[in-house]
Amino acid sequence: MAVPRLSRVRKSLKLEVPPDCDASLILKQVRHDEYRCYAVWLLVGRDDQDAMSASYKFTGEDTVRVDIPRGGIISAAALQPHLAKFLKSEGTEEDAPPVIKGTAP
Amino acid sequence: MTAAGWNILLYAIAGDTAEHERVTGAIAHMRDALTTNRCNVAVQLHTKTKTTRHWISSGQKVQTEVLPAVVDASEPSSLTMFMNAAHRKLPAASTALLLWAHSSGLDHVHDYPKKKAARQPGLDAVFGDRDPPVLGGGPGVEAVFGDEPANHSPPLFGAVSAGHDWRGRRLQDRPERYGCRWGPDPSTHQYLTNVGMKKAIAQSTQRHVEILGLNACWMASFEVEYELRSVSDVLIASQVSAEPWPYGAIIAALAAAPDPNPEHLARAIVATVHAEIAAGNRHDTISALRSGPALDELAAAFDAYARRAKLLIDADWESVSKAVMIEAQRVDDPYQVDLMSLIHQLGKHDLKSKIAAASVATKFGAMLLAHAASDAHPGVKGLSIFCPKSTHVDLADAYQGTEFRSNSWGQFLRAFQAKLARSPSA
Repeated sequence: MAVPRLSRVRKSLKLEVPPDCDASLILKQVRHDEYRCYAVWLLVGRDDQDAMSASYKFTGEDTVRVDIPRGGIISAAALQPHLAKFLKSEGTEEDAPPVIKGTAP
Repeated sequence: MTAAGWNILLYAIAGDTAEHERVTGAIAHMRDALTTNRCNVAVQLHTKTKTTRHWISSGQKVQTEVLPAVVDASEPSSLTMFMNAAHRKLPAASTALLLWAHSSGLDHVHDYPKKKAARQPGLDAVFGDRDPPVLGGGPGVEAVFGDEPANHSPPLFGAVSAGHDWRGRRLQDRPERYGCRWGPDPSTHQYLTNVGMKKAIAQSTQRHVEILGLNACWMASFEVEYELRSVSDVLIASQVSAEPWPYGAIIAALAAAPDPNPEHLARAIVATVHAEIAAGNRHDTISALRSGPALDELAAAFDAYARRAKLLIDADWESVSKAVMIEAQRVDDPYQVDLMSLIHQLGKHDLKSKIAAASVATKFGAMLLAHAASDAHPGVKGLSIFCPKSTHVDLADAYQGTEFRSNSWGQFLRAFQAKLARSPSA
């Protein structure tokens, strides 16, 4: 099972899909109440040697990069548990798990 | 008993095992570091099953008492009782009250309700503006703030159903103190509001503290600190998602110089966090600001600036929009922006705005005691302010019940949001 790789974005970057991945995306926190809500802000893809890249300007908001290995599922619902685990590992998760905009109710 | 110079009061919440271990670790570190009888430490720890108090004095074992009933940390009276108990048991000339939990800054930030059938008094009542409300109800509101506002795309891979928010939660399921953020209490899952925090301190026998430290996310906001200005001399907080402070190092610093004035101790607390940031062990920010009259002066200067900035919404919307939406430095809370960055960007082409901004900057410079920020948060200078980019956010509720609601910034936000909703680029 291809497990997405998550990392904290702390500065502007050029989002390029790693060779072993199908896609890379940026999640940005866009709101919170009792949940933290993230939106897919940028997504670039790769197929073999054909790859897209894009510049992302870090503006200070809570931002997470996700690289989805080849064969992984590209959906908000599939990413949500991984985001929750990532935030928990940082020790900053609040009482409720995060939500990715687009996750089916 | 001779009164000590300082009491350090730590009011903490542990919602799970990891948090409990962090607090108990901090208690052990403080005990090890406390080598002076000029300072004592008291901790009230709230877990799901019990509430404990821990009394720490130099050369003695930690005295731990389990309170007869589980205490709700979100109740202001709980904090008041802890403060009073500490003052009785360990009288001191000065008190530093440190609150350690999760938070999200302003008390009542959330989206507008989805449906509003009739005109509501909300914004007029909150901001006291005589202009007819553009937001908050009436014809056209549903068109702007319908199931999904026009300037926001529908969910990427999902759908919104009627009577639910975009997450699928029923709107009526919102908890009683929806949006409030300091806590939550592990048992009641309720939050201590910023207004409640102020009341709790004001109702204690001391009525105020020399230092109020908020070791919780996003509490270094103008609105929060303004609310708390009357109950503390110095406020210490973080503009971003905060990590636990090094409590042992804080007590060690106090033990090394046991009779500091509040500003010296505040600087020492910031220095301990700065040392961890410099060592690469943490990625947050911390700032210490003078409170009381200094915050009143800052608010007055900012009020004049906000009044001028509001005029620019119609006069130079392109510049205002760009400043708020793109140029001003955001923090990792989606609703807040760095205050100094904002005044640097918003109105930068307008001489009167620049003069007003310079006054704000001068007041802020005079009250900022110390500040430290990780490279992960570039451009943050010590204080944030509510400045949502979204037409979703209920501005009336965000400032409801707060003292900052009378500041002209509320009216700027209201006019900005209304213009944003009508903007072709929105």
